Amino acid sequence: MWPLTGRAEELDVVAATLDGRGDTAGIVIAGHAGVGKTRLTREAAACAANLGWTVRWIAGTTAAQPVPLGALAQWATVIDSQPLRIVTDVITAITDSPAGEPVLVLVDDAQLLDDLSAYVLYQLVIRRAATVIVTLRSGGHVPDVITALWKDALLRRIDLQALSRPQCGTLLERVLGGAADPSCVTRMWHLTFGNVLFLRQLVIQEIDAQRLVLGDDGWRWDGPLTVTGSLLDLIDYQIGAISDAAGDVIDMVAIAEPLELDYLTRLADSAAVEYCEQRGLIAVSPPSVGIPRARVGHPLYGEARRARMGSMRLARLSGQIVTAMADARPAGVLADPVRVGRLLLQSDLPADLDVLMRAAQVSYDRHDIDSTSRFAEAAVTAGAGPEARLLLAHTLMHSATPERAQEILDQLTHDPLPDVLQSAVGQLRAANLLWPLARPEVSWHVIDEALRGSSAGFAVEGQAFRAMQLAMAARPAEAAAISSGIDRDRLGAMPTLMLAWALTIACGELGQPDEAVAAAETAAATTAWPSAALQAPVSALAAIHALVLSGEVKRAEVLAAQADREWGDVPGVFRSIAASIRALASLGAGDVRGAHARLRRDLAESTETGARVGVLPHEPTGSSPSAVRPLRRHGWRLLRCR
Amino acid sequence: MACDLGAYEQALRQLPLPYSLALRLRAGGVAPDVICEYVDVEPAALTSFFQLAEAKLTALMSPSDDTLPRS
Repeated sequence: MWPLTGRAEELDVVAATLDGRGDTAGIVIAGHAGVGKTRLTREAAACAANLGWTVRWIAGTTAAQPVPLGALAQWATVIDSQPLRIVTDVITAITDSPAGEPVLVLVDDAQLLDDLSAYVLYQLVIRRAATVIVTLRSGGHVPDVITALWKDALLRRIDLQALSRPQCGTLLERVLGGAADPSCVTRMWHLTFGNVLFLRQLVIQEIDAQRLVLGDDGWRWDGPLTVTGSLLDLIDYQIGAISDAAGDVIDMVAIAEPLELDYLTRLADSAAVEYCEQRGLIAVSPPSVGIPRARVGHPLYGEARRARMGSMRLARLSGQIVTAMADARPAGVLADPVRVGRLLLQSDLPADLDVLMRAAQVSYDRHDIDSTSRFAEAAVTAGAGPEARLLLAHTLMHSATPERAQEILDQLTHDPLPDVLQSAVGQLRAANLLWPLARPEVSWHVIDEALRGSSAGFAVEGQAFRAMQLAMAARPAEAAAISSGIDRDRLGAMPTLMLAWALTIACGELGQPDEAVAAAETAAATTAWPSAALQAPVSALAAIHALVLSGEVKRAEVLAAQADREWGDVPGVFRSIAASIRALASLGAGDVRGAHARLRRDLAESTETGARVGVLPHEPTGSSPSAVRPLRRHGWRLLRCR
Repeated sequence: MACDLGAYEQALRQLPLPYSLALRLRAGGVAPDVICEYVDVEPAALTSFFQLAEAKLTALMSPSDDTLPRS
């Protein structure tokens, strides 16, 4: 490892943070690729370890970025359907130290964190659960919650600069063990702009080529320069020249990083693994921080290798990694199901229904609707049973294609299904028609069919949904009346949920706020398939609506503030529902512009189709096409309430 | 020639360019948002940026400094 040079003042900031002199919970170290962010962080880790701190390493990687909690896989072993509990569990696992020592959490390349991991980091900082040092590559997209870390002054941001020419000379002298002649220092500094990674690659290459040599007057750089003038070109040239065995190692790590060393050594020549580690092409985490995992030595190495990798090689190596993960299962090394699923999808292996369905379910639990849909779609294509088709339809209901969900659900009605699935199909058909497709009259016919059916169980469940339809049709008294006649002990989870939501809406319109809130609480506590996590915020939305309608404005505002604290920062649909709740409460309090502003801000921040939930109030001047137009452009459909 | 320059100017010239540029711009009364653009630093991080620049400058100007950059 090259000696740290020119970073004394940055280390002073680290020291101040560790001994509590800093006024923030940690530091963000930003800078361009190769400037030395990770190197500085390693030094910080060493300082902290010497002071008796427990140090945790987290790394954002391109390979893990599409996987929710991908960067935190080693701490996310407990999978639960409540994301807020996942966050708390992961934070507890990360900050657990053997004898209560203070914990330093180092997060490398935070710009590559998936949304959920970024949220965990944000919560870690907000809760002051540990001291945090985050590195961040300048110039690219950064998740909002990461940006908030320094914009809200939670962490101090340091923008790491390239070395000056004198610092370059000092570094070269230390590395080479003697002074380099001034022209050598000047040429290298001009070529590398003081970028340490670039300088390092250049020195290694030129020593290997015997053009950087020790003469009587110190180190001299002779001969023509055979590199092009960019760091990426230099890395590409060098990394393309390594042996096939070493290439396999770094490619496998680039595909699946952080890759457990156990898998890597099953797949690759151990000498090649050691060679790659010695050359800094890969970095392996020490056993003291858990199962040893490998990642590429620098993100630019991974980028260079991925750019060279053809699709067939990607598929073959991905397949080998999936196979190694499956083989290692009896040994107790369990890979994250979503990660395995993603690797399987890009591999040359045949579809494995168990793997795909497990990945779909876990993705759903983590509220990654797009991934859930992709896994469920692959499972259906491979011939999976009705559960996969039902899950696919469920995810499509949240997407821009509820019509396709309806096709799948309609097909399922012709299949012989167990009662529980048949009931779920009926409920989802009615729900898809009522909300995403906005065809309440057809939804009504679906429930009519259930009520006319021979099964008494289906009829009771049909009545529960009928109560919802009545509530949605602004017929609250009828909804309440039908609800009172339903034997709730005979209802499954989903009809129980529907009935509770129907009562929340109906009681709100009937001016019965206490009953509405009680029904919303019942809904929030119901565990319905396929995931119960969304029920609490949706129930809160229904409760706020009821309170506003009942004129309980203050109570609505209190509940909205509570909802905002709980879900306002949770990525995806949670944040959108929280924004809707706050907007609804504002609207109820007569603050139309405030409500409008909240929803517009949420629209601007929302990136997922499934996250677009909102109420657009009419402005005081009447209908506002200028407000509606951008919503339509983003895939919203406008439902007019009268 | 460098030896004719004041200690402050000599130290400035040894700093990485963004730090020296920012310090020169600030001394010239340039607005913070313009400095941010010149040195590619976000406004929320400018105070921290100047603190580091000043610390590095002080280290270079300190009498105990052996003229080599600190490591």
